[in-house]
Amino acid sequence: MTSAELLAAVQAKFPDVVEIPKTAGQVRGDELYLAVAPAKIAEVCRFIRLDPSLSFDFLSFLTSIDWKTHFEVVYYFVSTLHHHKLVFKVKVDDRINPEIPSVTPIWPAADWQEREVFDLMGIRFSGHYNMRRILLPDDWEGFPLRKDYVAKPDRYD
Amino acid sequence: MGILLDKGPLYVEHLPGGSIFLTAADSFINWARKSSIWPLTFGLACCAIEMMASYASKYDFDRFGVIPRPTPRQADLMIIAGTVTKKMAPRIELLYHQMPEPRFVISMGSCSNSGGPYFDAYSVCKGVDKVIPVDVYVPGCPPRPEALQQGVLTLQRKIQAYSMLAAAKRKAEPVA
Amino acid sequence: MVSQYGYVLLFAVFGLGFGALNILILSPLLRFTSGDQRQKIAYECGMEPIGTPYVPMDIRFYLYALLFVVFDVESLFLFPWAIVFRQLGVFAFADMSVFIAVLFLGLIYTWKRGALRWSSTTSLEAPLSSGGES
Repeated sequence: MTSAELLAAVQAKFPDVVEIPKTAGQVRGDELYLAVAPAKIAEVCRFIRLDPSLSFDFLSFLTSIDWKTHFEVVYYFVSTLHHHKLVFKVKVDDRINPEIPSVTPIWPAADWQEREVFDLMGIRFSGHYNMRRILLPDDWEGFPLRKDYVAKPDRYD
Repeated sequence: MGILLDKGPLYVEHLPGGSIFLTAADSFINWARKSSIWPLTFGLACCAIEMMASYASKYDFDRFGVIPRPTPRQADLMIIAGTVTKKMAPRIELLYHQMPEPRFVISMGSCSNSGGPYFDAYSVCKGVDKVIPVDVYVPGCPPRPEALQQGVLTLQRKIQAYSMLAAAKRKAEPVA
Repeated sequence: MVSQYGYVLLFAVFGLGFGALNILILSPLLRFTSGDQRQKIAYECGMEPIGTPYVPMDIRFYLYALLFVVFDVESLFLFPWAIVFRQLGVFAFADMSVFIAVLFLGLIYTWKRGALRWSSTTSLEAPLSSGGES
């Protein structure tokens, strides 16, 4: 399916999903980039996985960006059946207690990737069965990859 | 330390021929210790690859009597090869204390010497000597296998220089 | 002669005594110790050990040891018999055949009951669990 067809298929079911157009000078691939609201992410992901014409069965990666004013969670999907790709960008505004539904029940690959996002950026994924730190020690305070993080010196420094 | 080793040399030294006996015993025991150093290989990152290369056939470590052991209970050297993160540091400390004495530590590569290229990172321990005492530092990023073997040879010289009598005297007098 | 076994006793005493001397007396006097209690805790790859190191032992080891003892004692009986059985005639042969036959029946029983099987999976071509599209 081409980008236009993908966009039409997704918007038929979820009309408030918009495309993020490529701005001039932006270095980007040809994938379709869609902006999804955080509350809807689980439903939209379930739809794109189960729908036979879309059938995005491979979550390539799940990561997050700190834009200083808000967070953004990026999902990259690939369909091994139809060989098309899709990118979701989810804007999370809350900087104190960011929370977004988890897609682990849909793609098990999201499990550790969501734990990594929580560990380093602090975004909680509701509905995740094991939301705890994965890379840093369990008693670490703070989320290092945030732009406003200040490292506290300890005995290892 | 054992009673014989703590007090023995101080008395034996004063016997006729005692100091000759002590130095001869020293050179024999130190030769035995340095010729069969068995490391607990603690490969953490890229330096581990160079350490594996130095164990393999081209830069053979076995000719020095160096055989890797998987458990600290059977090892007398710990080669810290790679970046020491703050999560790993308490484990290194515990493993070091689980090694039986006499035990030695070689810090291999810049990361375990001083934090290395990741010195400014929030999660990197700035040198493994913040956790355990280090005997030999091998610089490099990563050090070549010959450099690591040079480190082990330096450690051998350090072991050969150990003197029971000097250690007993150090233990006997209070720390100045 | 009793005095011949005296040499064995002497050998045993000196052997055990030398071992005990080295392990219990000389070694603690001569070795280094750091005195650190962390040296004594169980090894769990640098982590604090969870639970005790005493795990229940696999019962199959006991079964094999038991079977070994039975058949080893059987072969122990066969050795002296084999040395003198020509002089004892047919009766000894028949006697020992009965003995071996009884133990052989025991072996067949053990075999049929599956005590000699180490692993409990019934077939090598067990189907893999299907992943399935969700």
